[in-house]
Amino acid sequence: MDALAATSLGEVVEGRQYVTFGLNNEEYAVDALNVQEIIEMASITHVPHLPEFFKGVINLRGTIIPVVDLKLKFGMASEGYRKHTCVIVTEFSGGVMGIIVDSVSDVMHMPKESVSATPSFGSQIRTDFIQGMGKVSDRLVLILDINKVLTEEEASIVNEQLTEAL
Amino acid sequence: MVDFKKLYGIFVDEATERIAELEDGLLRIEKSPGDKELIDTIFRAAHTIKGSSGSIGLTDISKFTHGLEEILDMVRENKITPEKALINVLLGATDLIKEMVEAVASEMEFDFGRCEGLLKRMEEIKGRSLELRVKSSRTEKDKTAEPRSQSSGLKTFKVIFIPNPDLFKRGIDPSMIIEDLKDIGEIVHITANTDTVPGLSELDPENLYLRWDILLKTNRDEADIRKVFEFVEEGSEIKIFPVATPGKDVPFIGKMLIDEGVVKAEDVEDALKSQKRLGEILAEQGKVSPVDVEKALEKQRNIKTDSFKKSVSSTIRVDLGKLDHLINIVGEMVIIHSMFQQALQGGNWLSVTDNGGNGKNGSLMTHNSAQNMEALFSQLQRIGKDIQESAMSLRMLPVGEVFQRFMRLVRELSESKNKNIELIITGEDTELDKGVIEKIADPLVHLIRNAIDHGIETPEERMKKGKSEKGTIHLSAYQMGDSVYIDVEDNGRGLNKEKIVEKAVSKGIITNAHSLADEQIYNLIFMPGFSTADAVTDVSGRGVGMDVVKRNIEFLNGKVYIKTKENEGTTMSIKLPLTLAIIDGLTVIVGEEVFVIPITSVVESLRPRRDDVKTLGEKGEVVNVRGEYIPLLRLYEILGITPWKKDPWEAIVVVTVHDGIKYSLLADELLGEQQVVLKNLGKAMPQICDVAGGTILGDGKVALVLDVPGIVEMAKKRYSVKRYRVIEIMEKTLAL
Repeated sequence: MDALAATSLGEVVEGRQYVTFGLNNEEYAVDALNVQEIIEMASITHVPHLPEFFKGVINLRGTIIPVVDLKLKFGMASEGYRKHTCVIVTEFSGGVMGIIVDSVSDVMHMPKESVSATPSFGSQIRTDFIQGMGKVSDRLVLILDINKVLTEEEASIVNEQLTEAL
Repeated sequence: MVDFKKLYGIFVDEATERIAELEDGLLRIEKSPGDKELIDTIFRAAHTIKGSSGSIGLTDISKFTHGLEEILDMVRENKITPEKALINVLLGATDLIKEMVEAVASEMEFDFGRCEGLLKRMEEIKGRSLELRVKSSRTEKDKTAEPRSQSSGLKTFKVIFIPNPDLFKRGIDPSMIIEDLKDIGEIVHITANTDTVPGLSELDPENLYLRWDILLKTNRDEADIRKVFEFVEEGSEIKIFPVATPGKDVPFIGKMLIDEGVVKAEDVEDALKSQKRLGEILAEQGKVSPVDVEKALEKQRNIKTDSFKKSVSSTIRVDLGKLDHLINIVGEMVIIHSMFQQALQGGNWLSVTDNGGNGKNGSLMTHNSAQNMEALFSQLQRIGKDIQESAMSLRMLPVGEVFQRFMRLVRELSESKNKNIELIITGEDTELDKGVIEKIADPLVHLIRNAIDHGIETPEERMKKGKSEKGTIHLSAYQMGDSVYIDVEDNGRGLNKEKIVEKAVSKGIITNAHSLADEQIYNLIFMPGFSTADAVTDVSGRGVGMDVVKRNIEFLNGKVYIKTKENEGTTMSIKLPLTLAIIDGLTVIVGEEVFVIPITSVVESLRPRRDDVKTLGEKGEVVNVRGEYIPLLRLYEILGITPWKKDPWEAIVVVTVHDGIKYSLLADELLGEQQVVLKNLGKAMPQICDVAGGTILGDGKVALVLDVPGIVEMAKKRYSVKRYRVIEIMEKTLAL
């Protein structure tokens, strides 16, 4: 929040609002405009034939939405869900999707100049989901491009895995 | 500047409706050209499109529609008769407007250059009728006028005069202006447009609501005409534009020849008919290969079919009566709600006194209130059901909307196939869920195309067989039980059993037809890649149609039946559930998940005895149900779940039927039968073939609704090839 307080009015126009959340020990952010709401972890119904990160579907006040476990998606360790685990309901080009995160920490404003481009980590780590890196005080926040988290390409990977599984 | 974009959605919805009206009207006017009311309806539709497009700044559409409207106006005034050629032009124009509106809907640019050709044709029609008009007026008038009209450059102008509404207040009589016009030329035609006159209650007698369309023949120029309007120009709209007159800049050689008496009109028409299509000419000249032309045509056709699909809007028009009914029930619910509240408060108060003292009296009252509560609850239940039914009925639309579109399809296709076919439509008021209606149009197009292309014979062939020259396709919809049937019935040649068998064998779909029942043989046409037509025509015959039809209909939980008799005709009967949203389902447990199996595909559920379960060829399993061996598909294997029970004799077996073949599904436990609201799993969810959707159970958890055909499909893929063969063999042997 201190970042928001520090910025002048002119800069507010420049930067964006982000929702930040934690995955294991790392901090991530998504554009607040993509976030519809944040809900408590609900009971998930598993859907067959989908990759592991696709946890299934939940009931969001009468509407069924799919949920993904971001940690699994990024190949991180995921050991069960805790008290603070919650679902960020995001809207992206492909529809509405819930993403499971360890905790939601903040809604903060990040001025444009404190966001830098993603450095290349080599071919070891996929960086195409990451839009940029934000520096807030001394913390490092990875800003996700939620549209790319499940893009067309990803959907086709899902399909591939589907057929492989058969 | 107002942002019209916001209004585009409303415009598109309205225009789409009007276009449908226009198209339908044009098709009907061909059959009954004298129907005054019908012409008025068509005219109004065109006029509305013109007006609404103009009012939100889509002037190009407005202008084009104006041209159409003018011709319709002429039809209305009996200046031209709506013969086939004219209807074709008007339908062509309607198509273009449709595309323009679609372009607006999808926010794409429409190439208005494409209108040129049609605009010219329309101008020509207008010109021709004008010429007739001039000719007749010439004979009526004294002959002294004739030399004058031939001598100098007599031009015809169209003058649109939309006066300032304040004209009366300024003491100007518009009729004076028209008199003035008469001084400078001859008024060929004048109409007062009364469309803008409001109802009596809103009418201000001091306002001028009229507008005039004047056709003026004069040797003066535009500026002179404008001068007449000098005094009223302020606040009025005056449009003057020259109209192409015969003899002047006529671009059509055919018409010139007719005018000069060189050829007869019929000859020109014939010549035009024999004209080849552009694609054919190009191909003959070796400019393009026929394959390329074919490809381009294919694309064109696809665009045409697409326009069928697109034209279902996402908004819905609801009968006010239905809405009133719903509101009434909701009102009842509100009352029950407050009664409940009262009863609950009463209960509370009683329980307090009960604790306080007079126990006997208190318990009696509590007993009463419990009874009361029960009565209230049963009322609430009834109202809940009413609301459900009433809300569902809002989604119901008459199928006529879709049916009307086929008039056009049949008219055009039968023309291009040189067949004489009449489409009879019945039961267009039958209501179906909007979701179903949207998806049924496509399969119906296929079925009707097939009927035209393969079903109905050519007139010669029909004569030979002693049938009437005219073939009929009967498209009917009706409700029976909780299903709606849509039949496509033709009186054509019917399906040829031998030909189907021959084809199926040659395509390797079946090895022989020895033990196949007639019905099974007919059903072979639904197999992918099957087509009996010897020639692949541009309409159908590629063998992709029928399996798509079947799949689409199965997707809607529907079924297709074939009834056919050689040389008497074929009836394709589509059976559809009344609604998509609420289905009856059997709830079962597999592992920790609850699944719903749609009751439409369930035959029975049972727990087999240990020796009723047999294995075939090591892996395939069958269950003996009263002497009938049914393949066993283990749901937990297909869905990848760890089950509680692996032995069928401890678990439950649900016997389902798909395509007349029974499959039994193994589940852990049976929960019961209940109505569920079918929901989709969200747009972001990849399509999974064995899951039809989801539903929310009483405890708020999501349960998946299984798709039985999908499960069978998945099972075939999942099980090893060897095992798949086993299932296949089983299917074949069991089906017979």
